[in-house]
Amino acid sequence: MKLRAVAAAFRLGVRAPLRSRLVLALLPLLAAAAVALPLHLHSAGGEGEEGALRMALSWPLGAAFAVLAAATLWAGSAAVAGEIERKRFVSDAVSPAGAFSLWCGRWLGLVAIDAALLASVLAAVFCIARLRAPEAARLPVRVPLERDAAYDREIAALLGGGDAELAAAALADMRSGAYMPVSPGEARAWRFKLPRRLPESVRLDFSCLSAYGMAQGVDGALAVRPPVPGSPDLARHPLSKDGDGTFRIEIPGSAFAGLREADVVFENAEDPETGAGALVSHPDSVRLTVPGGGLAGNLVRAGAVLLAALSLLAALGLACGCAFSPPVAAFVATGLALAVVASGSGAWTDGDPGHDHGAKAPPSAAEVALGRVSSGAAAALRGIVAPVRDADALGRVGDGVAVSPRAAVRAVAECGVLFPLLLGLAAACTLSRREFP
Amino acid sequence: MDSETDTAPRGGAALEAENLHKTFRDFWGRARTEAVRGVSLRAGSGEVLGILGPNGSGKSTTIKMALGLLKPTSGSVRLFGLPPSDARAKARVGYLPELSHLHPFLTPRETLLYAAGLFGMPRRTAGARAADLLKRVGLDGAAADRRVGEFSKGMARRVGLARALLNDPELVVLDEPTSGLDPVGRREVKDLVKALGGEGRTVLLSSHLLSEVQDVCTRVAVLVRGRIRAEGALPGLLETPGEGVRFDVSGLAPEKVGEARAALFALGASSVEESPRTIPLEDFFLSLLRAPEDAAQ
Repeated sequence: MKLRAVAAAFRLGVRAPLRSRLVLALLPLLAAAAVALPLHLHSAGGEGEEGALRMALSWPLGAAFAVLAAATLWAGSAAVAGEIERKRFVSDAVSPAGAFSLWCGRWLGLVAIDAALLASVLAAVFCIARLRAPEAARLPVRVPLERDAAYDREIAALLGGGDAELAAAALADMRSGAYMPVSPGEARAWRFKLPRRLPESVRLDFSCLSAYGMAQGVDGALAVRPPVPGSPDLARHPLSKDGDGTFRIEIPGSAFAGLREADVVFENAEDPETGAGALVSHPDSVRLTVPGGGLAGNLVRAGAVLLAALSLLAALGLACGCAFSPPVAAFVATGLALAVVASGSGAWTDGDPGHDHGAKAPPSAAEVALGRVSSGAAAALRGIVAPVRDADALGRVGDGVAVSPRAAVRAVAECGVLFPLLLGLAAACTLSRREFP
Repeated sequence: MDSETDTAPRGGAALEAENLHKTFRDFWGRARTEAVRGVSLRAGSGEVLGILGPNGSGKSTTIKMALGLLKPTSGSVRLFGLPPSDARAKARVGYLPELSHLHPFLTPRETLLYAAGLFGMPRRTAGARAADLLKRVGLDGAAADRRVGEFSKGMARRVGLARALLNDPELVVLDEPTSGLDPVGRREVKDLVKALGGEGRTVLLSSHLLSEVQDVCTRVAVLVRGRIRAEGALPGLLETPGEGVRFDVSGLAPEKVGEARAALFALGASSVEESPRTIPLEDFFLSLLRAPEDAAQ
């Protein structure tokens, strides 16, 4: 790769959207998303200042990201494809700068424009959040404590009752966030790792559904105890079915002194004969959080994750532009991006035709093969965007939960740099084999 | 020139094309047009090789195969002994395409600096070189900082020409270089091409303007329907042996013209044509442009 060629292509990649007025066209849309939208939404985030803060953060960021994502994808598709179609690329193709250098420079230029626009949006969102919810915006964001994955396996083994297959299925359900039943008289436990330096307080958030899937409480108790069996509870609170199934308490940090881990146990104390079961989601029903950092730092981390996603979209658009004409490139890039979004939804199953509800005949060999290809493709697409999805930047910022720095670094490294460069290599191969009649 | 790729061996022909064929196919792979059929060319150092031919004769296709923009269906091409796709070969080539498709949102200076970056030139060197070339093509001053999208076709062509010379190339490929230029611009380009040949560079010039090729080229290849119909050094190619000889006479008094004519008839000439010495229309036109306004009347 030739650095001077990359630098030259980078300067062109920055100038093109600026001087072609693409950025000028985007600014009103971004202003509408970041500034006008929160002014028109009054009850979408929930009640009180916390609700106002959630609305001031989630909706504008989500809308602005959607605008930037679409613009980046289409600008990337049109950049190289348009130049090839208008024969402006001919002189570049005759120069000693390699196809990969040219591609890299254009990609970096698009990412730089995205970074500038995203930074502006984040700054606007921060200011509006401080205006709409001044008290809530000044509170520290919550850092979720990490769960002990090994303990999850113990719980799954218990649920499997000694059957390895059932235990594996239970563990898969626990990891996927599926709601699992806790019958009357039963209990479910979670183990959390505690930080070395304990904060002033640790917040426990709990939520469950009734056996009918409604947001309703059950009679029972929530206990926090050391991981050693037989130890007295650090905190214990009763739960009532009269509530909405959510519960929050603040536990003094001093209660965890000397401990590296703590268990949270949900006990369903409903009558075994007449009482209702409860449904809990292993990753989502219980959360222990500690205060950590401010809103500004959290927005920066979220911005890094979102920029990583935009970087991947820019690379996808540019790669499609190297292979196809402008409208086809935009179509293919958009289709692939939608496939990636769909790969994370429940609608795209593992492709096992046996999941076909209502199917009476056993699947044919062709259906099984197609199912395997489909599930493989879905898994590959999910894997590519997993770092961004796992970081859950938009969700966490809206909920006042810290975006994990480790997750942000992983998203930037994989989705923001590694995968785009791989796409660039593929694009460069395609470009170097193209003819320019 | 400071180039990151300037490590190719020197000497030998700048361009060697052997039995080139190019067939354009449709999406389904069916042969549609055989644009070039067995073209072989060779251009050495200091040569100005003109490729002549009517529209659709395969001139641009041949040039594009030589530059690696198209892949020959069969045959081989070498630039300085290297494949056209080799970066070391590309670093020694300057190309002016048939139509100057430039980025309309860049100024001429930015266009040249961008191209300089692609050739690996340091910024300072590139800046000085760009300024020098813009002056040479008549685009210095305010024009250097106007966007190319606002330019006329001729001005855009000058930018393209400057870009083709930016990397101080040993092989300059010019496809219809005077297209869109006024007579002044045409003369400047022709003088430039002659100067390039005089500096020992190889120039490959494609045109369908016969006078242009005759004025500047040392060798010519004539393409018709994808094949070379004639090739060779210009004076020899245009000779018509056995059809007489032309004398260019100067210093003869007008009253002696009749004596000279009679002497030629006495020596066996069957016909003698005389006409006043004239200058080419282009020279006449340029002299008018250069003369002060009242002198022209």
